[in-house]
Formats: sequence, structure tokens, C-alpha cells
Amino acid sequence: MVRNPADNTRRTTTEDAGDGTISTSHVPQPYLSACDERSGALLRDLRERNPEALATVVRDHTRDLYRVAIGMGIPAQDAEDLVHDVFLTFLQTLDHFAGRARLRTWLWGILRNKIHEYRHARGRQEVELDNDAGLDLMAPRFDARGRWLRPPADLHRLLNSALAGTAIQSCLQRLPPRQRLIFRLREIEDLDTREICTLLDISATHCGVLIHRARLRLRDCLERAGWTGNQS
Amino acid sequence: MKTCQEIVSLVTTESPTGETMWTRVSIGLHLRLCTHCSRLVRQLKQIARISRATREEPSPDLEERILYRLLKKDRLE
Ligand SMILES: [Zn+2]
Repeated sequence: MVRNPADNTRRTTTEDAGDGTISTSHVPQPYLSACDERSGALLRDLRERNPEALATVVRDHTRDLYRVAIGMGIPAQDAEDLVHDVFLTFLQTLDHFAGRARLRTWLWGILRNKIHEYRHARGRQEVELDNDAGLDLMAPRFDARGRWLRPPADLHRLLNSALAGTAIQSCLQRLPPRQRLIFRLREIEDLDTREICTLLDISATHCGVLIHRARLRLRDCLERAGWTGNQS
Repeated sequence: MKTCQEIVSLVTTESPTGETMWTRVSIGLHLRLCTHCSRLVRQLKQIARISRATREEPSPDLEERILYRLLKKDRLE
């Protein structure tokens, strides 16, 4: 392991944990060198079972892990146990971690395995490949020169109705599984696209295309639900 | 000039590398002039916002509950 000279300053982690703040930021943090500097000291403190160090990790990562679990379709009543198990496994496998990966990536990897085990234990299938992979939903709406043939209908009545959320949820259920998953993770749980791709083990390009399909398909479903027009 | 079809594809797909400055400018220009495309973009943003509002937030003491369980377990071992 390459020792970072900054590791010698082991004050950072425990001091940060002392202020009692809970990080609720779900905006992915760029991989700053500050994280590297801290991770060595943090790791040592975790090995020594320092509760403050554990508190730092749990407070920094719980909310996002929970969001991912929910986004991946784990029921709310099981998501908390699953996140708890992620930290348990993390503590048991600290020596494998050894600061090699970014802590966040490492925890997400453990979560991915936990979700896999969860589904397996309940005889649930992994998320299938999309059955409409080659279908361009928008193509029939344009002419050969890329001009609108069938422009988007007005959804004002739906989108300003109290039932908008329900209508969206019901259309979301009709999306192909993987598109639904990506839409949930990206738009509802507000996670970073690159992290979603890693989580689902698909290329960034494919991930971007799936998001595109999910957004347009969902909108199309709402349009077809007959909520068009702007009269209320 | 980009066609409406190209604009729709560009604004809904998330490119791993991001769009170039020139592409962003031409998208912005197109959306200012084209009522159909700008309507679509507005709707998609609205759909995203509404669906985010349906999100169920975990309880505020989620972190503390998990931490408590982890520390309790540590003490038993
Ligand atoms: Zn247009």
C-alpha cells in the first residue's frame, strides 16, 4: 500500500465526526484528494473499532446506500436491514478494502452483492435485458428530414393535477424493467449517471441511451393515458 | 442546423462525455425557436420533478439506528 504522507495527520476524521452533523448530500462528490488523505487515518481508526470513525462512515454513506436499495426495488421494510448488513460486511472485510478503492465505490460494491443475495434468496430474477432494445420510440413522430410529424401533445392538465404523481407511478410500472430501474435511480433517487452504470454493470453509453428511452417512454405513456389538453 | 429529431435525442440522452460547447449553444438556440421541442423538454423536466416528489424519504434517524445496531453488535463480540 502506498502511504500518503498526509496519513500522519490523523486528526481529520474524528474531528469531523464530532460536530454531530449528518451528511444528507446525495450529490456525488468528485474524487477529491482530500478523501485519499483521510482514508488512511479513517481505516486505522476503523480497525481499532473507534466508534467515532464508524459514525463518520455511517453518517456519510447511509442515505445514498438506502436510496440505491430503494431504487433497485428493495422494499422499504428490508432496505434498512440491507444497509446495516453492508456496513457489517464492510467492517468484517476491512483488510481487503485497505484504502484501494474509493470508500463510496467499495460500499456500493458490497451493496450490489447484498441486493443480488437478497433477490436470489427470494427466488427473484435479476433485472432482465430490455425487450425493446432496438425500438426507437420517437422515430414514427418525425418525417424523413427529422421534422415533427406528430408533435408532443399538451400535458398541462395532467402535470398540474393532484393525480400527476400517481399517473407517473402507474406509467413507470409499465416500463421495461431495466428502464424503470434506471429512471428510478436517476430521476427519483437523483443519483449520478456514472455511478448508476457501475452499479448496473453497463457501459456509460448504454446507460445514457436507457435513460433517454425511459424518459420518452414514460412521457409517451402519459400522453396515451388520455390526459392531454389544457382545459381543467 | 440540427433537426428536431436530433435535438430530442440530444436533450434526453446522457452522453458520458457531455456535449460540446457548440452543441449546447445550438440546442439552446433551437429550443428558443421551436415550440414543439421546447414543450417536450419542459414536460420531461416537469415529469422528473413530480416523480422526485413522490420519493419516500427514509426516517431522519436512519443513520443513528444503523449505527446503534452496529455498535451494539461490536460490544457483544
Ligand atoms: Zn424542434
